[in-house]
Amino acid sequence: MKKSFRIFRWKAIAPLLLFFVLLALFWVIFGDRLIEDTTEEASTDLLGTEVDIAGLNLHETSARIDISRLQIADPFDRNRNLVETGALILDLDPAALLEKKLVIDQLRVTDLTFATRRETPARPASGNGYAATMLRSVRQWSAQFRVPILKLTPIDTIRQLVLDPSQLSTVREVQAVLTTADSLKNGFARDLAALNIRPTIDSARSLVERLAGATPARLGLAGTRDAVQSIRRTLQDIQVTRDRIDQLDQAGKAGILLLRDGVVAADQARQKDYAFARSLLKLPSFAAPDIGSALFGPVSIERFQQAVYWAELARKYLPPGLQPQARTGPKRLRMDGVTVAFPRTQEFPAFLLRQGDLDVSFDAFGGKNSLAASVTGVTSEPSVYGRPAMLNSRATIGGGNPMRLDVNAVLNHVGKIPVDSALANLRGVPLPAFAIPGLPFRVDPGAGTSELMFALHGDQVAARWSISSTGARWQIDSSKVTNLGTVEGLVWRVVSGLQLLDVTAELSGSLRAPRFSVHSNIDAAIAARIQAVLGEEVQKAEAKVKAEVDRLVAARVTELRAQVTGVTADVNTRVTNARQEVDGVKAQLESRLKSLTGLGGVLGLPH
Amino acid sequence: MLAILKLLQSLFKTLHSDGSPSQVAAGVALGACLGLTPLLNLHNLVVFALIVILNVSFGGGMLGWAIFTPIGFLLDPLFDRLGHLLLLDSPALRPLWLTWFNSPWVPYTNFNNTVVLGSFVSWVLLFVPILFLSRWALIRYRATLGERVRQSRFYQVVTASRAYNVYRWFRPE
Repeated sequence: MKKSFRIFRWKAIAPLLLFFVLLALFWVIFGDRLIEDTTEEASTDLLGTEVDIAGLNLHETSARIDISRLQIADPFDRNRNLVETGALILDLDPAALLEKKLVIDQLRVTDLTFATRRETPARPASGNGYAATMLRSVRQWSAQFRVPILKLTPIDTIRQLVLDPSQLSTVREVQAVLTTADSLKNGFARDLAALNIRPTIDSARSLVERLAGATPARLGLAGTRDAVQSIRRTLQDIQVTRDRIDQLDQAGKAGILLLRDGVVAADQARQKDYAFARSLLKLPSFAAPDIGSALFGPVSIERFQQAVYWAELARKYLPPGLQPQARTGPKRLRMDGVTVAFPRTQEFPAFLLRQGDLDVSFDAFGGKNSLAASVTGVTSEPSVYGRPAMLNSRATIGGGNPMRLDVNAVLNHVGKIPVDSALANLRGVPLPAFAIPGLPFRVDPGAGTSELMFALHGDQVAARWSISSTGARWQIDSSKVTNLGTVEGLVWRVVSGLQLLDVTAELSGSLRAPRFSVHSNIDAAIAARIQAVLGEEVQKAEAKVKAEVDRLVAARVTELRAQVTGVTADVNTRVTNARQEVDGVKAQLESRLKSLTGLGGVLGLPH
Repeated sequence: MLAILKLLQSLFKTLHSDGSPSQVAAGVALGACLGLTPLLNLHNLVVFALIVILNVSFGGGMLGWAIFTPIGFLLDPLFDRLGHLLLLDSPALRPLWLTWFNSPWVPYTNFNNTVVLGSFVSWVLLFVPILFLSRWALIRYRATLGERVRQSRFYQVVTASRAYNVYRWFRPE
């Protein structure tokens, strides 16, 4: 009997259910750990800095995630955490989870600290991730600001100057003009010789001599006619020669003008040589903006660099528009491929933090402290969500004279052109000390005010960072106190007594070619002090520079002037002599022609 | 070791006696999905469940998985290009993707990944050719080499193992 064919294998249902139960059990046991590891790995890759999570619990039934002790390392300082939280509670939207989207309805933080020291240095960002690449790009970007380092050449060294004549542009200019002068002189003589005026003049003189005392009566009619024709032909030849001499004269004058321009250029080159020789001395700058950039440029650039980094990351992960967004697929044994997101309006974005709140009150520093912050609308698809991301935070810390912190930021990526702006204001906060580049000094601003304004509209940036303190303390590297150079000592005497510190740095223009400037209250003071003390020495050094350049180039310039004068005279003399000869014989011929043609009309001779 | 032994048992029994050529071929064609597409995806859980529940050869499914896994690795660049073409370079399909990937559950298939979609579509297209090719190959094997292998000592040792009993749960009926 033929066995009937059955589509389903019912006895396999039980093992299959068992398989699913085992899968569920695996999830219950290892699910939290898997999510924790994945979150750490993905966040580290996204932010370009190490992210650590001490523990993570997923509550499937209530769609909630509890994260304990989240640490985000500072990508610019591996020994420091940017932020560290206590308990972090995320209430998720279950409907969005069904679409594999992460929508956080509410984020609560019970404790938050900033800029804490790390127990172990953070791992550097992976070399291939977007954030790591961006970090390198931002560092290269900040390197473009060639902040001048204050030249602290000891005063004795400006008395020494070694100049190589071949480095001087005057010498090169003079040599070029001399070569041109030689070329002009020789060329003119060659062209004049090529005119070959001597045979024409000799022929004319011979004719004049031959016809001396000749009259129509003596020559007869035919002889007179021949003589008149000979004179006229010769006069035509003379006129052609005269014209050529005039052309040669014009060319010679043009060449002489060129030589005179060369003399002027040599004089201008000497001014450049003065500047060049002065630069070899490395004289200290007296310009206040230069001094401001030298003292506070690097520390200012660091602030802007960080702002640009986070803004660029925000633009990458919060892109404008509704076009499909492709990103590298998950790491696996198989090829990663590309994972594409298809955002659509009035749907859940792939990631959305609707509302994040922090409101903490605690007793410390001898008073009641409060810290409140809210974040809204942070999403991976701003055009889907339709509203900009916003951050507002406010903190008051301390008793009688409390520290205040206000941070407000808006990331508007809803339209085609992203617009980001942030304003952070700290008052009464101990500002971090920083070293002055190129000098063995540090400044500890103490408690003061700091403000960072940063706006990025498309590619256009407008940023300002300022610090202000009335209790700044200057410190000097004790090992270098006795070895301070003249200028270093001078700067130290100026700054060491200053308690007021007021620095403002500004960045503007496009991100590709930004303009950067720094000014502070001590720029002008240092500039004036250097000017007062070093002014006389610098003036002497500058005079010495000038004399040294003059010594090397004066003889050459004199030689050049003489050469140009000689060439001018030579050309003029040759032209004048040639003209005189031609004009003289021409006058004699015309006289003979007149004497022969005086009766010519009577005799019917041609005019 | 046990897994390898079980795999060998499964392979031998599948090739020699378990199920008709059509059942084995259907198992191979379904198992090809596990090998051709990246494993840890929702659709593979469904395919695995089908191999277990449907009256096809489970051994055939495992055989298909084993055969097509290296092929899957080799063809990944091709799958990536196909997926790219479907996801990004076909504007006509964009409304479909927009609907799918904004619907519940579908995003968990990871079909918005070029390799996953490309390999899955390739498997769907190759399903029927694999089915008929493997059926033809099995019939030819049983008619030519099958009996000699069955008589071999190696075959006797492998199929005598106790672990084989586990496999018997999934024998086609």
